This record gives sequence, structure tokens and C-alpha cells, in this order.
Amino acid sequence: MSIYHDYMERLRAGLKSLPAERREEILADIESYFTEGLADGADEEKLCAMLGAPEALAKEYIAGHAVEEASDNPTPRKVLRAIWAGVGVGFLNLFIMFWVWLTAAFVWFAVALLAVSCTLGGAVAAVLAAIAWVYPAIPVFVDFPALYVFGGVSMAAFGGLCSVLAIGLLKKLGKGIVRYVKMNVELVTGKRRERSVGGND
Amino acid sequence: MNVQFKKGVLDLCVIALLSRKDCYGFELVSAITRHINMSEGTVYPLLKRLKDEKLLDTYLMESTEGPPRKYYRLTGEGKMWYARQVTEWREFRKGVDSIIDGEGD
Repeated sequence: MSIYHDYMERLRAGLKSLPAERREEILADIESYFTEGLADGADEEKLCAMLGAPEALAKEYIAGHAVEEASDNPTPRKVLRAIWAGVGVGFLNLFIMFWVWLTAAFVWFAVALLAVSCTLGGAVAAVLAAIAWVYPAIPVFVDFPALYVFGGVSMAAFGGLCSVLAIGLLKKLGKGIVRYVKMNVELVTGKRRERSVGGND
Repeated sequence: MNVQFKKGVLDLCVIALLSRKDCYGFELVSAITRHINMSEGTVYPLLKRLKDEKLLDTYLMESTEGPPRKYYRLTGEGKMWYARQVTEWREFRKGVDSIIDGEGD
């Protein structure tokens, strides 16, 4: 197998996670690079060396694509993929920021836990107390069922509030992470254009 | 040489080349590797990104050797970007040089 074919195969393998259309577009670009280079009198080996390892090239394309995807629509899946791709290219000073993100994740987890437990606990308490209230014969061991119904409902409402907060925080966290990854990409690539001034917030 | 250095100024280099004339991909890569030892495979992904950002666009042109070639050219926005970045880069370089040379300490 020629060096060129080997290069293209490795590039294709590296790009397999991209949508087919995007992948073919990239492969066509690189293919024309070789055509152009050979026409200009360079040999395959030199052309490969000038492009760098196909795996590195693929990683760079994938990171660019992942960041683009995640900033268009920051679902947790896409955000994670962008981070992963970013780490692969060595963009992220993740180690330094690790503790910041870990803390943020813990705070979020605490709020989410509070939300779930209050909503469920409150609802169960309210329902049980309501049953005890309506049917005094059932022994639920509460002295003032009405008070428990009220308490349970308030707790569930508080839980609901926490849920709203948790969902909001999750979105913010996702956006924050995407912005952070982007910032890293921009730092490394030297891009400093204020693209989103008065824009998409 | 420090990879971060190169990556940081690579888009400036690509755009500087395109500010003089439209180029096809190989032309850009070879012009850059002539001056900077680039083996990090970043020129092509960079072209894609700059195109997505509308700093440059592409067109096909017949070639005497082989199939039509895809040429890259600067957009109006790209030219404005270049003018700004060159000024910034020159100031930055001056600043770094005077720190390194210990002027005005």
C-alpha cells in the first residue's frame, strides 16, 4: 500500500465519528492537497510529513466539530463530547480547572438531591397524612394529620422549586463548560474575535 | 519549538498569505512550512474554521495539471480582521521583545 493510501485510510479511520458528509468533505480536501502537491513536484512522503500525523489531523477536525456542535445546542452529551475532544487535542488545562468543575458538580448534585428527596418525601408524607385524615381508623401514627398534609405539600413545593433551580443550573453549567472549552480553543488557536458581542446569549 | 506559539499565530500567517494572493491548500501549507516547522497538521482544520467564520471563502479554478483546484480567498471581513490582528501582533511583539531585552527596567 502506498504511503498516500495508508495516510488516507488512517485519516478516514480517525474521522469515523464525524457525520459522513463532513468526513467526505475533509477527505476530499486532503485528497486534493496530495493531488496539488504531487503536481507541484513534491513526493508523497514529504507531503505526509508536512501535514503531520493523520491521527493528529483527525483529532483536530473532530475537536473543531464537537465544539461547533456543542455551542449550537449544549446538551450534556454534546458538551461531554466537546470536552473529550478538547482533551484529546491537549487544549484544556483541565487539571487546574478540575477542582472548580468538581465543586460546581457537587453543588449541583446537592441541589438535585434536595429537589428529588423533598418532592418525593413531601408528596408521600402528604398523601399518607391525607389518608390518615380521611380514614382515622388507619393507624399512621400522626397526631395532627392536617398539619402533616400541609407540611408535606409545602415540602413537595419546595422540592419542585429546587427541581426548577437544578434544571436551570444544569443548563448554566453546560453553557459554562462549552464557553470554557471554546475559550481554550481560542486561546490555543489565537482566535480573539468578539463574535458574540450583542449576540447569542 | 513551542507548539502553543505556532498555533497562536497560525491563523495570522494563513490570512497574511491570503492577503497577498488567493491560494490553494497545498500552496498555503508549503508556504507556511517553508518558514515555520509545522508538523501538527493544523492548517487544514484551521482553513475550515476560518471559512466557517466567514473570514475566507473558496472557489474552484481550472488547473493546467489535473482537476480544478479549490482556492481560498479573504472576504471583506477577513481583510478587516487581518488589519486589526497585524496591528495587535506588532504591538505584542514589541512588548515581548522589550521585556526580553530588558529595556526600560
